[in-house]
Amino acid sequence: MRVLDRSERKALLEELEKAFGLEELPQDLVFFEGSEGKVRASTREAYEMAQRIARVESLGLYVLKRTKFGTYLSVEGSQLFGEKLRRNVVELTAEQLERWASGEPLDVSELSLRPEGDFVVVRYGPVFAGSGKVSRDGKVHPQIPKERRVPVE
Amino acid sequence: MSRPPLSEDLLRLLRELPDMDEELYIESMTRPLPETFRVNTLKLPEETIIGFLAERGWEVEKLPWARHGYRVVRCEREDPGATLPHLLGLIYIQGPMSMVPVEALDPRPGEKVLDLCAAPGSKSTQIAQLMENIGVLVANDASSERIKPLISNLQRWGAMNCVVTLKDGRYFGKRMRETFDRVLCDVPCSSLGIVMKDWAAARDYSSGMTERVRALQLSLLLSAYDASVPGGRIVYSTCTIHPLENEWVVTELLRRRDDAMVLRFEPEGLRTRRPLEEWRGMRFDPEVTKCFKCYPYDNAAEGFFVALIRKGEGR
Repeated sequence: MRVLDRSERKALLEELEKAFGLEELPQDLVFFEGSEGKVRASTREAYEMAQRIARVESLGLYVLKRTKFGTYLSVEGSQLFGEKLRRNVVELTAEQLERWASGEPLDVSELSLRPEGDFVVVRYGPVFAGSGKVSRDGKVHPQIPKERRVPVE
Repeated sequence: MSRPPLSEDLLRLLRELPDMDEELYIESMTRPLPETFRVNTLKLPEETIIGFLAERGWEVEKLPWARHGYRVVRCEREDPGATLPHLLGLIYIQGPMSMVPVEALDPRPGEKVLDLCAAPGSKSTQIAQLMENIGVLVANDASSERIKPLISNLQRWGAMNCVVTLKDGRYFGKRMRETFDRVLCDVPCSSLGIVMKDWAAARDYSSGMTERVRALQLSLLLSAYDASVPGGRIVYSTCTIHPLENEWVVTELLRRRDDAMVLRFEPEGLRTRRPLEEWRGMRFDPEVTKCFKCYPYDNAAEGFFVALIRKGEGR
C-alpha cells in the first residue's frame, strides 16, 4: 500500500469536500491507497510500528473508496468524519434505518434532503451508518458489505 | 437434558483435581453462557450507546469487573450478534470471563501493546478501546484462517491504531525484544473451561492434547515476557482448568526468568478460587496462588485462569 503524499492528500480532501463538505483531513492520520480504489487510514504511530515489522497483514481502517462514480465513505469512514460532514448527509427515521441496515434501498423521495451528488452518508441522530449510492432509478443503495447487513427476520 | 459426554481422560482429570466438584462441572456444561457485550467507546459515548440500545428495547445490566461491559437482560432479537448495534460496531458480543484478561492487562493510551494470539479479536478490540486509539496495538495470530475474522472485527470496531500480523508468536520475543509496554498472552489451550460452548471439547479431550500444547504455551509466554520492556506488564490467560496449562506454565516462567513477579489480581464481583500449590507430585511456585482462577460453575460463566506478571526493571 502506498502512503498518500501531501498533494495526494490535498486531492483526496478536494474530492471529499465536493462530495460531503469535509473541510479538513485529520492531521494525526496517515492515509494509504490500496487495491480497487480503497483508501485506509491509521495513526502515525501505528504506521511507524508497521515499518519495523516484516510483513504486515493489515494496518488501520478502511475508510473510503474511490470509484468511477465518485468517492464514498465506508461505515467506519462515515463514523470517523461524520460530524464534520456538511453536505449530502441524510437523517433517517428509525424505520428507514432498519431498512437501510438490512441492505434495502430507500427512495430519494422519502429522504430528508435531496442528494446533490452520486453518494450520500446516512445518520440516525449520532449514529452514522455508511454511504449510499444514488442511482438513476430514484433510489439510494446502501454501500454496506453483505456480511454487515442485518438479517431480515 | 441428557448428560454431556466426557472423555475418560477428562473424567480422570476432574477426579484428580482436589478443588473440583465433578457434578457441578458437568451441570455447568448444560447451561448456556450469559449473553454479555462491551459498548464501543471508540465510536460514541457509552451513555449514548446505552440510550440507543434502550430505544431499541434492550435491557442491560452493568458488569462490575469490566469497564464498558454489560449483560443482556432483554434484546431486540434472540441473537444479539444479528442486531444493528452489533453490525454497526457499537457493541461487541464477548463472554463475561473473556473480558477479565484485558482488565488485568490494563492498557493505557499512548502505550505499545502486543496481543500475541489475537484472533478472532475480542480482546484486541477491548485493548484498542482502553487505549482510546492512541499508541499502538499489534494484534498477532499464527493462523491464516483466523486472521480474516480478526481483521474484520477490528474494522467493525474502528480500531485505527492497530497493526495486524500473521506470525508465530515466538517471533516477537526474538525480533522485537523489549518493545512493548504490555503483552497479552491469551494462548491456545484445551478449552476445558468453555465446554458449554461445544461439548466436543469434553468428549474429545485427551491428556495428549495438554502434553502437546503446554510446551507451546510456555514458549509463547517466554516470548511475551522477552518482548516486554523492563517494568512492563504481561498477562497469561487460558480458558482451561488444567493445572499443567495454568499453574505449571507460570511456575516454569518464574523458574526461567528470575526477575518475573506475579501480581495479585482480584476482579470486582467475581468468585475466584485459589490456584493449586501442588498436583500429581509436582510443586508449583507459591506465587501462582496470586493468580485469578475460576471454574465454570463459580460464576455461571466460562472457566478461566489469568496470571498478571510484571517484568523486572532490568539489571
